[in-house]
Amino acid sequence: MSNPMNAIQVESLRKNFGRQEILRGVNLDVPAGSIFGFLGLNGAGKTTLIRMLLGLLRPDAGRCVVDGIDSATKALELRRRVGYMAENQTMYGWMRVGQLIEWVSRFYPSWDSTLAETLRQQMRLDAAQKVGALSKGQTSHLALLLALAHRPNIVILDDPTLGLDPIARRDLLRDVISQLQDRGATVFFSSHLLYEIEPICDRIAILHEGQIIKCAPVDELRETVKRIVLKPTEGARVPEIPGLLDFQAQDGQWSLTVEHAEEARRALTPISRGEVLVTGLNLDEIFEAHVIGRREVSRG
Amino acid sequence: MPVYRQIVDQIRYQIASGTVRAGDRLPSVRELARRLPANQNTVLKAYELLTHEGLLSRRQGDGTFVTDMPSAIKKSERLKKISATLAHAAAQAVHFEISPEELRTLLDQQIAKLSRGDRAHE
Amino acid sequence: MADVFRALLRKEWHEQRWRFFLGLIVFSGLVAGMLRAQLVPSNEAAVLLYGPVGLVFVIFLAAGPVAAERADRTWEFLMAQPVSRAEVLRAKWTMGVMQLAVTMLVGAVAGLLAIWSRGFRIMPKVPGSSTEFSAESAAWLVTHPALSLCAFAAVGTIALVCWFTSLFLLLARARNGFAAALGGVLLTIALLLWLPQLGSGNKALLVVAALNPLSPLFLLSSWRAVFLPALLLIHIVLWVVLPLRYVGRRRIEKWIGA
Repeated sequence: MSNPMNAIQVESLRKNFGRQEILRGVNLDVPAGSIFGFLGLNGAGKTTLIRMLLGLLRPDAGRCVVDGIDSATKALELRRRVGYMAENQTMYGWMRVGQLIEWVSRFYPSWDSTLAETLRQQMRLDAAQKVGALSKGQTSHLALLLALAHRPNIVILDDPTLGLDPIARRDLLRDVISQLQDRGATVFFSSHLLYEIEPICDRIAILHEGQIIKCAPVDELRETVKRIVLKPTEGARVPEIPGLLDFQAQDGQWSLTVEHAEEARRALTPISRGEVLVTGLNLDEIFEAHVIGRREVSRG
Repeated sequence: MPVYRQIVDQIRYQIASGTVRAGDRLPSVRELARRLPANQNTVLKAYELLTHEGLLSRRQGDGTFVTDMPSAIKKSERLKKISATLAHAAAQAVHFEISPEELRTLLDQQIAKLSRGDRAHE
Repeated sequence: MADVFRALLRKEWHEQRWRFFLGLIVFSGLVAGMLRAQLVPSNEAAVLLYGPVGLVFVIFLAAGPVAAERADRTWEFLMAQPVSRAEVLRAKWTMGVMQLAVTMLVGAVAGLLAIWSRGFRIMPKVPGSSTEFSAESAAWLVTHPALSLCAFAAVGTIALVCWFTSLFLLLARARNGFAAALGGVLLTIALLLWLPQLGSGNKALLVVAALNPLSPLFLLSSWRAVFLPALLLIHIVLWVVLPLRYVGRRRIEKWIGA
């Protein structure tokens, strides 16, 4: 019973590698037409999840439905319809750019050669140049071209900006916006450069210790996750605050990062000596608080 | 600050400093989204907020234009909005242990920059 | 889907062509050289060439394709395309078999030219000396060097293709060229150790040894040559047709891995 409004739906996904539990019941819904950012520490299992979305890896339990197709049963058809850019892809270095594009086109019935050619020119890739001689930025662009040229409705990018310089990164993200969002395509991508993907994403999800600990629109996160700084009165105890992500106490000053800013502020005002300062956080800080925040309360 | 607010502030600044004038056409949502780069919905949100405030007006098929603002919104409303921003700045100054005099000096500097039409404000 | 297969074949060919030509020249050179120099009688030469030497070629051809791609990391790129492992393996197998068959065939032609250059005077081994030949054996094979060579070439090629298929599929699990080559050598040695049972009196052991893909090569000159066509057919089914049919099955995909 998958919701047709969701381009990607993940239900109770589990995966172990040997005795290590990588994914422990992951649930995820990616609405069609959205740009979805997927965050997590290195080794959290982002690539594992993405490979399962494409049917390149079988889950131990649960399922993934992408574009209405179950990734465990019809993986080939899925990959024909979905654009995929893997992390650090090694393409055939001996082929020339034009050759590689033509070769890959054989695998996709919906390939649009005109679009491929347009993209190739926009990305300034020389058709006669050997793929092995391309720079990192050009290789990434070529990989993106291959993912886009068959006009998929869903594009999955695994850390597409890895190893690129800032200018190449912006170019790539620009292409994502102009080529994909324009068409109403769904974009699912993982990244570790949060300050860059924040402007691009509609929603983000955080994968931590095998589970999705947060999944919300970026704006909502910004509005509700905040840092509260106050000077507590003498001998005050930290009240019960639901959604406490991080607590720091130093020099008689408390700094709390919380999920429900308004509630927390009201709870803390009575025990504050002076003004309670509530500041907004950027996505980096929000992410940090979620994955490495210190939740034990101690008095500094 | 949320991204759409950053865009809003940038546009406000450009209008206030005279970089963009009343009657000028702003880039379309698609163009601006591509340029930044940013999500089209984010740009749309920014444009809609400024349209609601009366700073911009969107004409179907033509695009988004800068209006002749002051007439559109009552002064009391405008004062209210500025007060909120200043309250936040004042509280922050207390926390950073910046004196009222230093704060006022900073404010004067910013106003001077605007009237000079300076672009750089980072 | 034929489109995909053809695209895969073209890529394999492009990657392998120089090794193919090199192998072709080396093998043909060996065949022609051995026969022209008359170092050994022609049917012994044929057994040597389509036996041990051929096996070396088979190991090279079987260990190369998958392991090299994995080591280069292009395997991941290939698997990310909408193509199944089975399809990829079939394409690589096809290219490997073509290379093997053409090399063996051209080698045979080179050998025939060498024999002709010696005026067909290369004498095969005479009955009564160390290798046993019985009266019912295909005497014409033994007496005519050119036909002898052709027979060995044909039977040897089939035998090598059989072993190539299975070795190729087994080694598809290897993660790099060295592991694949090592595995190939060890498995081939195991295969060869199996053969001496052909001379055994025990019927059961004999049957098991006959199932060895290389056995036809050694049976060619003995009284069991009468059963040769049937044996070859059994080998082709057992060692080529069945493995290829099941290469798409889940267990095999699991064996081959990511």
